[in-house]
Amino acid sequence: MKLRSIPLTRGDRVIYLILLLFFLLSLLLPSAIPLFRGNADRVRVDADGTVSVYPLGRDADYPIVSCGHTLTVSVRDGGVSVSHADCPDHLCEKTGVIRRAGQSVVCLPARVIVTVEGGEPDADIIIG
Amino acid sequence: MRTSSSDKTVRRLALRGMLLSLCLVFSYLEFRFPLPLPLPGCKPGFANIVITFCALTLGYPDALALSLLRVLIVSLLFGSASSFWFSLCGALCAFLVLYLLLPQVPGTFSVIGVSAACAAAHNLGQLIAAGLLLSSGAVLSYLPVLLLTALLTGTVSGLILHFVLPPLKKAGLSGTGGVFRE
Repeated sequence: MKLRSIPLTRGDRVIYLILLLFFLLSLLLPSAIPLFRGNADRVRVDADGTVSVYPLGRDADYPIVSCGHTLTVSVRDGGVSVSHADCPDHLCEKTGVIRRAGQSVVCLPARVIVTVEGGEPDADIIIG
Repeated sequence: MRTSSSDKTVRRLALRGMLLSLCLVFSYLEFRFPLPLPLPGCKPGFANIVITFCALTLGYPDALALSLLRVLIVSLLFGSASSFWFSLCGALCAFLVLYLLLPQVPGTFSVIGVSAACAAAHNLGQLIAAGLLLSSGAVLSYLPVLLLTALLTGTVSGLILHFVLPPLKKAGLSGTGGVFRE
């Protein structure tokens, strides 16, 4: 399998260039989110439409049951993570701890989104 | 190799069955033995090799049917309601890209680039489906990882396809009335 026998056309290089560009752009996404947020002081748990808000200042464990799955959302030292989940992929657990406003942990099988929030509650834009 | 009309029909039928089985086997293996890397939702995506090959030998309608059947059967056997929609959206996006880019092969593109583009479209489609289903833009955090793995797995798939096509063509698979051009 010689390297020279692989015919990578010019169009291929364009495809790869475009994909790489998208990849680099997508890396910038998370930092673009926390624009109007102030300091992170609470965590918002959206479980299949049911929203609960918990303070980030108090260490606690919150059991979340959604779509037949049970997750444990843990708040420790101003950060939040999913410490235990019974979903098939455990990606939510692997995401680790988030602590900055705008960051989130997602569990697709359970349809749960845990987001760190801060600043004014439920305001999209602060004018004045 | 001149083949009679009924002979061609039988060959196509046999090939369709074989390709579907191959697709399902790949999907099952990916499900049973996931990659040991901690990358979220990253799969080798070898089923795309089969679908692209199907488009080359049997034509686009058959390739689309193959893709849709694969989604249906895989999600019924070892998927969930959510995974069905993610898979469906991904498969449709991948097929769209395949339909747009494959006619340019060989020439503007090679199967390698097309496979990479299809993999990226597949992952992007899945992400969009997840975002819509959860009504959240937070899923976009998966985007960098998905794009990177799509690039890599798509290239690997494309390479496999590239090296497998000439021997298969020699084995006489071009007599089935497809768009075989390699």
